[in-house]
Amino acid sequence: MMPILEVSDVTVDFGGNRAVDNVSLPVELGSLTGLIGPNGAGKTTLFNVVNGLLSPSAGKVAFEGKDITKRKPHQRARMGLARTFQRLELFTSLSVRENIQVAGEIRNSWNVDRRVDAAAEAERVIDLIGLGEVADAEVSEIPTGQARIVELGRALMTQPKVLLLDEPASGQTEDETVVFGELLKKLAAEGITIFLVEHDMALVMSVCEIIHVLDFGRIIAKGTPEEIQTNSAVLEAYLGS
Amino acid sequence: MDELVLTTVIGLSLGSIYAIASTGLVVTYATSGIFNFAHGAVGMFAAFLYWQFRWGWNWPAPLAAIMVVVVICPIFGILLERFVIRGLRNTMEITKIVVPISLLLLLTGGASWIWGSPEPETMRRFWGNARIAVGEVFISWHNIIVLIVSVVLAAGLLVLLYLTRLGVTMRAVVDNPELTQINGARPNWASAMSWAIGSSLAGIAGVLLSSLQSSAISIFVLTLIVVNAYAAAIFGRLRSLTLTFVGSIVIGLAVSYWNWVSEVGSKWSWLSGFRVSIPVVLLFVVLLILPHERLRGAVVSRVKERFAVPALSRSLIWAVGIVVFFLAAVPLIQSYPTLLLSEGLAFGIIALSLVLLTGYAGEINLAPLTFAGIGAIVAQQFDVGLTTPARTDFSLAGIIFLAIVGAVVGWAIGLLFRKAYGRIAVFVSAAVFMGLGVVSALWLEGEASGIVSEERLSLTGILVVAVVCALIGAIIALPALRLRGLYLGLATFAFAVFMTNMVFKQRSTLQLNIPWVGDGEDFGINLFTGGVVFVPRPSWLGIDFKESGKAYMVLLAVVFAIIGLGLVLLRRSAFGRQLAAMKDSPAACATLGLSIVRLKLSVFALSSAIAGVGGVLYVGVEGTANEDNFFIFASLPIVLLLVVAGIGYVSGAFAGGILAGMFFLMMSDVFSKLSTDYSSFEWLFNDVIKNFFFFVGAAFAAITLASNPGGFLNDMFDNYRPLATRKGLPLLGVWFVLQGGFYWFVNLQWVGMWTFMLISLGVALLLPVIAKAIVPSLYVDEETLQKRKTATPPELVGLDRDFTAEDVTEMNTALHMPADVMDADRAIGADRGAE
Repeated sequence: MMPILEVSDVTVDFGGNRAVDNVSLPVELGSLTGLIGPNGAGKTTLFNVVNGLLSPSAGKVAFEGKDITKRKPHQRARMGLARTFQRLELFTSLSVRENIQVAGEIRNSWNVDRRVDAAAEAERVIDLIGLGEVADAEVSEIPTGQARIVELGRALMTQPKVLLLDEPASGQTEDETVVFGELLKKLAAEGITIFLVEHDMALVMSVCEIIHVLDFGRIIAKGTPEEIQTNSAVLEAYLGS
Repeated sequence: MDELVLTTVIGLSLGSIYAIASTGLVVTYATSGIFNFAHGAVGMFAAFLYWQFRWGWNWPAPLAAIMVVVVICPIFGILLERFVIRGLRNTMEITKIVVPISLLLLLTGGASWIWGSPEPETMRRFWGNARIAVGEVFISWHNIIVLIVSVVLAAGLLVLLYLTRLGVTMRAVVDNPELTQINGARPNWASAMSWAIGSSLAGIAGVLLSSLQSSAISIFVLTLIVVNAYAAAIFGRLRSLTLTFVGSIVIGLAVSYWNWVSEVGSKWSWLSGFRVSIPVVLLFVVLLILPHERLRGAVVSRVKERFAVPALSRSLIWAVGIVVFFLAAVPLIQSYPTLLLSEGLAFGIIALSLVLLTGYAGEINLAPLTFAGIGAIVAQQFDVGLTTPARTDFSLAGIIFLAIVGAVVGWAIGLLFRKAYGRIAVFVSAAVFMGLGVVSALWLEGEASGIVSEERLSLTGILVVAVVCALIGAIIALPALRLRGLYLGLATFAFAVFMTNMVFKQRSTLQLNIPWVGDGEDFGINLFTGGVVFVPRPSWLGIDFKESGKAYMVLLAVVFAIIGLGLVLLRRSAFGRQLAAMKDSPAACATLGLSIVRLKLSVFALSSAIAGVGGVLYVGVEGTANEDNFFIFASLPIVLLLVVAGIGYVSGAFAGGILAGMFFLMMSDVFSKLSTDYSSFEWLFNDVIKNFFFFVGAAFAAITLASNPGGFLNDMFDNYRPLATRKGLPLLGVWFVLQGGFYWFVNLQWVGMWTFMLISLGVALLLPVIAKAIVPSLYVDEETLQKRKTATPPELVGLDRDFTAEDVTEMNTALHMPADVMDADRAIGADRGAE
């Protein structure tokens, strides 16, 4: 099977600092792929390269077989690449509902041929992600855990093929995380490919089919959850010096 | 050769002064993250102080210089940092820009107050005109002194920053104030010292520059000259002292060489304004070319204030209310207050352009009046221009219009083919149409200026102004698309200064010769003929607004209400939500597939159209306007007062416009009348209070933003808000009826107009207090508010109350810690959290 998203030999330098070092990884169509690693391993940097907020010093990013390394973030989004942010990037002037609705309206502005009723679509997504109770609250008033779900809802409004989630579960309670895991599986079942960066091992291990481990900018392991849990390099990266 | 040497020396010394000024700017920005717009004004003020000491009171030069540069400037800097700048941490970006600007106006206003009349004479040079021979040319000692001083200062600064403890602290503060503090340094002290040094450097630059001036030193000219150093500071990206130095020297040399070249070949008189524009042109270019680091403000200002979305029904009531208010005022007021109110309304309309641009979309424009001026020129060119032979005065607007038509046609052609050809087609077609316009201009016979020439402003004229201004706004925005925040503000500032020098002060006809055709001067463009634009008021719907200033005032109120309502509708639409989204997070917008370019261009175009229409109507108030009306220093008070009144709201534009156009003038008039009535108190009423309002009132209103970022008017409005709820409406109704009845008394001439106005104003101001006394439940008290706040679950980024056991459990969950790592008793943060 051809990977829908493929990162090849990507390197990112910040000054003299190599944040991502020659990373290659495929994300298979329809899969739930995880990316884990200690703080500062370069996970968010890699995400920024994938969706175009950062250009790599070297390497390529391909989406559906096309080289998208030179494309702008909004062009990649229009191809079907959506994401959430680790550091929240919510529209603080808007309510929860408007945050989600405006994403649909933005989609309508570029996808003129297939316009949707953004308000109705937002309603559906709010139901799906379970934010009905806080729909009319200001986004600055809701807890971080829920705010991350708002970002997920916003990304869903673009009807993405691939969803990049950057630590979506941090700030959630254990119960919320369980519900969230179910939601991810449901989205994957609907055909959305999910690429997940997460610190919550329980969540990653329970939902992801394949996991890549990043440490000091390099991929040190890849495999199924079972393989990762017993991999000595991973254990060392997390528990070692 | 001699000329070259001399020009170079002059350029170098000018550059050195810019270097002194711009390093001061970099040092203060580096430690506080605040771009000191007032830097130029500090230099100006210091120069005037020096003049006062040296020539006013005949102090010896060294004493005067030490007093200004070593004593007064540093103390001023420290006070400034302590009482103004420190309050700006964690405020909105626009507040960070506006407060230093209000300081600028405070200083220029203060200088006008003290030294305004009579203007001080020429500043004499150090050592008079003594010169020294270098080879075959004579160089004045003054220039040499300037060079030496700046080199010594530069060396001293480098030593300070890199070799002293203070310098290291200052550089550390740049990166992370909290961390610096934890490591035992005193960031506040470092910041205060940097402002002391910065002010001192501005002072030195001001004194040196003023003594280079050959003519009498003028407040605004001097301020703007120091502003030239801004380009150098941006060249150093507000960080690198070395690059800043290089930039300063380049600017100094460029100005000096251009002076020389243009004197040698003084052919194009319409380029005469270019010399003073060089630094701002460079500023603009540098802003566009240099890659920017992310502005620090953008990261810190997570504490953005929200502007509530206005309800449609309430906005409608407001709109009708405004029109009714001005209708009611018609029989009450005389012609002078009418004039002031009309100007206030016109400013309000212009301010609406900023509500859209800055309040809704988060883009900054410091020069709304420049765009208003463009509108007035377009109206003059198109609609109501003076009649002159077409051959020499073919309308510029006509040519622009044709070029635009060409571009649109080209775009349409481009649509038929592939993308790559589309862009070429736009340019080719625009050029062809422009050429057609020029050629047809050559064959035009008879007397005509614009496309239509009328004695009255016409409705089509207004529409043309809106369309042309929108297109010009978009064209101007095009290069500035990648700029945001402070950099965009600086770019608009530079644009405003450029427009004033090159267009609003333009007196010459731009003559163009088309090869092989005509007689050598084929056609000319008169942009600002004779230094005045005329906009005769319109005559619509059978009402001649030229005859009645009051009718015109009501017309302005109606226009304001319509545009204001339009903006409210826009804010509530999908377009408005997208603007808000772009303002809050451009990055997130991009990941949703939004092309920011289109959105930005459209909002710039719309805003510029509103400003243009406002500008035409503004000129209509007095009938004429000159370059001073569109000066950057006239724009700034409008921006300030708009921010004070609430830049996110249409009501803010109304209040801000009225304040800018009328309030401060009115207050100074009132007190100047009082001073004639009570002559024994003249010193108080006239010399103190009247002058206060006249010179520095607006700046003072805005400087309070530092301690109260929402703006005090906004807080005042908050007190009225409960009145518009269901509970408050009956009260509001009663007040309205009573007010109406009172107004009837005036009609019956039972009470005088002044009494009516004063009592009404008093009651209106006291309305919230009265309402609270009658219906206490309207106002939620502080305690309940506090409780409501704490009802929100704690965020993991910080707590502002005591930890509870549940919080600790929740934090453990979030941090994925086993329950025994941290329990409530051992929570170290428990005590600190309560503070």
